[in-house]
Amino acid sequence: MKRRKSKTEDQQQAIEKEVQSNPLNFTGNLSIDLDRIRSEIGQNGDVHIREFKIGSLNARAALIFIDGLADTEIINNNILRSLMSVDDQDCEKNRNIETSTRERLSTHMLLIGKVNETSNIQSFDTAILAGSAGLLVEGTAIGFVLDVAKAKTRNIEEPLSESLVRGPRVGFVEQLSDNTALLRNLSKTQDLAINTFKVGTKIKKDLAIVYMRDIVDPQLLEEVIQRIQTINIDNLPESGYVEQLIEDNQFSPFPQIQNTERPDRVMGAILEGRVGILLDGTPFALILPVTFNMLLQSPEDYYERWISGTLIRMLRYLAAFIALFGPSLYIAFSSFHQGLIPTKLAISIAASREGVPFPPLIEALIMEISIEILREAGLRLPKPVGQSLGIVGGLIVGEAAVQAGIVSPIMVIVVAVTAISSFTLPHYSIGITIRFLRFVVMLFSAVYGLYGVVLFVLLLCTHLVKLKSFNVPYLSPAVPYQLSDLKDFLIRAPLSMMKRRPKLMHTQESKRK
Amino acid sequence: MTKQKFDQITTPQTVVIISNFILGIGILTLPRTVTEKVKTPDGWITIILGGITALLVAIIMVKLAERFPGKSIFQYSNEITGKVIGSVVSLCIIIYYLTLSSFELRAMSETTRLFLLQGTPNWAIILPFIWIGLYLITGGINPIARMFEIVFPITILFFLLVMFLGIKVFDINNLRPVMGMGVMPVMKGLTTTSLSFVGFEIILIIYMYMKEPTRALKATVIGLSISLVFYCVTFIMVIGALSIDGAVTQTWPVLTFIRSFEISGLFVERFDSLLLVIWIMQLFTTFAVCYYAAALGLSHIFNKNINLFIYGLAPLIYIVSMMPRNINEMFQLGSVIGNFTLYFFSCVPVLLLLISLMRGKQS
Amino acid sequence: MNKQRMKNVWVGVILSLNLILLTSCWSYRPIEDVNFVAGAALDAEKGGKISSTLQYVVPHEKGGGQAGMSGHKQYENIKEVGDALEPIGWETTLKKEGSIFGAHEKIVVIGEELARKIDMEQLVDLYYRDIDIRGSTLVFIADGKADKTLESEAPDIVPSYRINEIAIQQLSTRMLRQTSLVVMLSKMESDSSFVLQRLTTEKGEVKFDGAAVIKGKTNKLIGFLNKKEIEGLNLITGDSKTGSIRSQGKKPVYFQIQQIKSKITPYVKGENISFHLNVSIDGRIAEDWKQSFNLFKDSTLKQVEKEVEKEADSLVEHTINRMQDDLGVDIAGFGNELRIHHPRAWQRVKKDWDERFKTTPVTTNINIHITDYGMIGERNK
Repeated sequence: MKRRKSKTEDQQQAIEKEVQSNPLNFTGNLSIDLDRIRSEIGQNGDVHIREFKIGSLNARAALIFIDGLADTEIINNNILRSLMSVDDQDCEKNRNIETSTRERLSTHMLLIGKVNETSNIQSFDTAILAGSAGLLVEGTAIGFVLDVAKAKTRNIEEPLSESLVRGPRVGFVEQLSDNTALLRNLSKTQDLAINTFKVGTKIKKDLAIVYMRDIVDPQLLEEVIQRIQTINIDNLPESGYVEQLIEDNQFSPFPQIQNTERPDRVMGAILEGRVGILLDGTPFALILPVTFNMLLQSPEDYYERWISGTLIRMLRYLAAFIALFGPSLYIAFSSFHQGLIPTKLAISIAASREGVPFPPLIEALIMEISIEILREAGLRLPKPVGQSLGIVGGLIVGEAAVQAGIVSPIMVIVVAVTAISSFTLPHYSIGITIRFLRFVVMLFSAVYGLYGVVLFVLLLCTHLVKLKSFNVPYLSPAVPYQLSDLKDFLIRAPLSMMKRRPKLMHTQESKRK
Repeated sequence: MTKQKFDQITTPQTVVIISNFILGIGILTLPRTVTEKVKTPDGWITIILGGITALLVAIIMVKLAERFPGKSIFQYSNEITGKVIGSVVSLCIIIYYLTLSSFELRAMSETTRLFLLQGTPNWAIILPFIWIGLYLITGGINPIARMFEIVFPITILFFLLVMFLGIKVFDINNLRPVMGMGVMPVMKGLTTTSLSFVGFEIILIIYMYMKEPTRALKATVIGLSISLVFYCVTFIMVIGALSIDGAVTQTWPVLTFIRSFEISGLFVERFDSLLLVIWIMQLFTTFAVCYYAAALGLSHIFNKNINLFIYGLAPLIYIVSMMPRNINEMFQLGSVIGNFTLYFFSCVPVLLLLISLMRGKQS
Repeated sequence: MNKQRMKNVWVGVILSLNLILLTSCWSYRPIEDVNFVAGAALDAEKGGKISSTLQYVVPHEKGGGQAGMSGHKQYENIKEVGDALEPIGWETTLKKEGSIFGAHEKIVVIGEELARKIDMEQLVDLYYRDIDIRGSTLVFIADGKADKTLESEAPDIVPSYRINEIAIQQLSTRMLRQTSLVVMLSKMESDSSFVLQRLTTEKGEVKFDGAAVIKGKTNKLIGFLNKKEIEGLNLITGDSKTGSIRSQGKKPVYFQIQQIKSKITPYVKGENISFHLNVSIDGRIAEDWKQSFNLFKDSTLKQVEKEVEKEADSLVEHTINRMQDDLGVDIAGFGNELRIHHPRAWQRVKKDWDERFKTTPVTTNINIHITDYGMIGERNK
C-alpha cells in the first residue's frame, strides 16, 4: 500500500502537467478530479458526492450520482457495501495476485452488470446526468461509470390512443431501452436489426431504426438513414418532430408516416418490409413508408377471423366516407339537387327546415364547429368531466338548438352520424385530416352542389396520386394495381391466402416463411 | 432512380388509360348518333363492327410505335418524314388534342349546367376543372396513370350498376328483330361507331412510357374491348327502354333512359344526375390526357420543359372551350373533331409506317 | 424537392383564390323555398285556352310526439289558365311564392275534353323537355274535368300520391298497367295507338274506371273502354298480375288469377296477315256460390276450368271486336309483334296499320289452369 501511495506522489508533477495539457482527462488524483467535477456539475443541488474508503484496497474513493435518477438501493447494497467492507482474506489474496486496482474493482467488488470505464471527464459527467453512478478511485486515472439508473418509467400499459378489444394489452413507454426490449421480445430472431443514432444538436437523443435485415428493401433503408441524418434541430421532444422533419410533403394534409403506440403493430409492419423508428422519450413509434389503407386498418382486423375482419374493415371505409362527405352531401342534396332524393325524404327535409333562419351551409358550419369545440374541450378536461361534457354538449345543446329553431333536426342527425363515424378511424392523425377536409368539401358543395363534391374528390385523388411516402405511392396497393396486394386492402383475405409480403415494399424475401 | 425509370407505366395502366380515354362524352349521345344512321335496332352490331375497325387501325399504330421505342410520335414523325412535314403532323396532333380537350370540357359543362347546376355560368364550371387538371398533369404520366386507375373502376362499376337498375323499363321487344332489314342498315352506321372509339390513338404517345412495350398490342386490344362491351351494354339498355323511335328524339338518350326509372327504398331515387356526377370523373380523365398530350407534343417539338407548356395551354384551352355559342355549335365542334380524326388517324399512321418501312428507318 | 414544394404551394394558393372568387352560389335553391309539385291536371278552358292545376305538397312538421294531431291539408292546388304550359307556370308564380319544382311530380291527369281536342304530343312537350320532371311520371285521362281528380276530403293524404300508389300496385285486371311519360313517348314516336287509364270522381274521391284510347295517327282521344273491356285487354297483353274472372254459369265461381302468359303469333302469307293469340292463365278458385260441389274430383276442376275459359274467351273476343269494329285501332300490340317477326311485311303495312288491323283475322285459344282451391274442397247440400 505504501508502494502504491508513493507511486502516486511520484507522479504528482506529471499529472499536474497533464491537467494543463489535456483538461478533459482524469488525472488520477482524487481531490483534483473531484474539484473539477464539482465545478462542472457539482453546483447543482441534485448531485451527490459520497467520499469513502475502499476497504480492501485502503484507497480513497468517491461515488457521484444524481438524486432520484440513480437507484440508491443498488448503490447501498451492491456498491458501497462491497467496496467498504474489509475482508482480510480477500486483502491477502489481492496482495498475492498482482493485479491492478481497475481489474480488482471490476472483477471482485462491483456487484452490478454494466460497468464502463472512461478517462474523459465530459463523458463521465454526461453519464452521471443520465442516471449512472460515477466512481473515482484515488490513483486511477479512470472514471468508472456504473449503470445504476433507476428505470424512470411507468408500467407497460395498454395504449390509450389505440385501444383494441382483442390483442395484446401492451404499449410502448417513454424509455427507448424498454421499447426495443418489447420488440425483441416479440421477435426473438437475429434478423431483427435495431440501429441507434444520436439525433439533435443541443440535446442528443437516442433514435433507433428497427427493421428486418433479410426483408427490408435496402434502398428504402438507405433513404431513411439519409433523411434521419439530415435532421438538424436542437431538440426532439417527441417523434412527431422526426415525422415532420423527414416526411415527403409538408403541405399535404395527410400523414405520410404512421405513428403507433403498439409494439405488435410495429412488428407487423417491419415484417412487411417497413421500417420502424423509435425515439427515446416518447411512446409513439413511427412506421414508414405508409400507404393510405394502413391508416384505416387496425391490428384487430388480423386478430379476428377473416370474415369479421373484412366486414369491420369495410365498415370502417364506409365510416370514413361518411365522416368526410356526410354534411357536404346533405348540403348538396338539400340546396341543389332536391330532385335526387326520394320524395318522402325531400318533403320531410323541407318540413324540418321550415323556420330555420340559416342556409344549410351556415347551419352545418354552426353544428360542425360546435361539435369540434366540444370534442377538443372533452379531450383537455379530466376524463370523467370530459365524458359528461360530451353528453351535455351533444344531447342538451343539440336538442336545445333544435327547439330554438336554429338548426333542423335532420342536420343534427347528419352531424351526429358524421362525428360518430369519425371516431371509428383507428388513427388519430388521419381522423384530424378527415375532420379538416370535411370543412373543405362542405365549402365546395355549398358553391357547386354535387359537382363541387366531385371536384373535391378529383382534387383529393389528384393530390393523393401525386403523394409518395418514401418513394412508395401513397395510394398503393389500390393504384397502381397490384392484384396480390389487394387481398389485404378492402378485404382481409384468410391468413392462408396471404403468404406473400406486399409487393409494393420491394422486399428481399417475398414469401412469408 | 433515373428519370426514365420513374416515368414508366405498367400494362394495366396502359389498358386503363386507353379505355378511359375512349369513354368520354360520346357515350351519352351514342344511342342517338348510331340509331340516326342505322334506323333499325341493330346498332349494337354496328358498334361491334366499329370496334373491330378501330382495332385494325390500332394494330397499325402499335406497329408504328414499336419501331421507335422510347419516342413519341412527335419525335419520330420528324425522323421519318423530315423536320418540316414532321412538325406539321405533330402540330396537327397537338391542335387535335387541344380542341378535343376543350370540347370535352365544354360538353361536360353543358351537361352539368343542364342536369346539375342550372344558372351557373360556364366559366365557373370550367375554370376549377382546368385547375385540377393542371395540378394533376404537372405530376407527369405516373400520377395521371394512377388517377385513371382510381377513376376507372368507380365509374365503370357505377355506370353498369345504374344500367342494370334500368332492367325494369327494359323491353327486349324494342331490340327485335335482329337484322330484320338485312345487313345494309348495319353498315350505314359504321363510320359513326368507329368514330366513337376515337381515343385509342393515345397509344402513339404513351407507348414510350410503357414498362413492357411488347404488351402494347395486348393492352390496346383489351382497352378497346372494355369500351366495346361498355358501349354495347349502354346501347342495348337504352334502346331496349326507349325504342329506336324514342331514342332518336332525345338530346342525351342515356340520361333520358336513366331518368325514366326510379328506385325507391334508397337514399337516392333518381340516378341521372348522380350518374352524370360520377361520369364527370371519367370526363376529367379524358380531358387530362388530351391536355397532357398537347403539352407533351409542344415540349417535344420545342425541346423545352413541359411545365412551361402546361401552364401556357390552360388559358388557350379555356378560350377554345368557350367558343361555341350554343349547344348545336358544340355538337358541330364535336363532329368537326370527329371528321378530322377519321381522315387523319386512319391515313397518317399508315403513311408513316409505310415510309418508315421503305426508308428502313428504325431507332 | 424544394422547388416541388414551392409549386405545390402555388397551386394551393391559386386553387383557394379560385374558391374565394366563386363564393357566389348561382344554383343555390334551399329546399324549403321550392314548391314540390306532386301532380298536375290539364283541362280545356273556354276560347281554346288550357288550364293547368298544379298540386303542391305542403310540408308539415310531424309535430314531435303529437301523432295524428296534424289533420292539416297536405296539399294545395293552384290553377291557372293560359295558352300553353310554360306561360301558365309563370302565371302561378305570381300567385304563390317559391319556384315550381317538378322532380317529384308523380302524375299528370289530362281532361277528357282537352285530350279529344289537342295532339297529346304537343300538349306534354314541356314534360319531356323539362330537366326536373321524371320520365317515370304517370299519365292519366280524367272523365270530365281533370282538376277534380286532384281533390280529396280525407286529411293527411296527397291525392296525386294516392293515384300514383294505386297505379303502381295495379292489383286488379280491371285497371291498366301504368303508362309513364317514357312509355308514352315511344308509342307516340312510332305512331302506335295506346290506352291510358281513366280516372273518375265519385263523391269527391277519385276512382280508376275504364281506359281512354288514343289514336296513334292523331295522338287524340277517340273513345273509352270500360272495366270489362280492360279485363279482356289485360288478358291479351298479359300485362296484369292479379284479378279475378267469373265463370259462366247460373251460380258463379270466381277464379283468382295468379299468372297470365300471353303470346301473339303473327302469320304472313303473301298479302294476308293473321294473328293467333294464345293465353294461358294460372290461378285458383277463390269463391264458389254453387249449392254443392266436389273439387276433390278432377273432373269438377276440369268443368270449372271450361266455364272460366268460356268467360275469358268472351272477354277477349269482346275486346278484340271493340278494337276492330268500333274504335278501329290496335292497342294490344299486335302490330309490334308483326314488326318483330316479319319486319319486311311490317314495313309495307305500318303506314296505315290501324286501318289494316280492322280486317285482320285474329284467332284465340285460352287455357285456364286451376292450381288449387283454398281450404274448402267439398260442399254437400
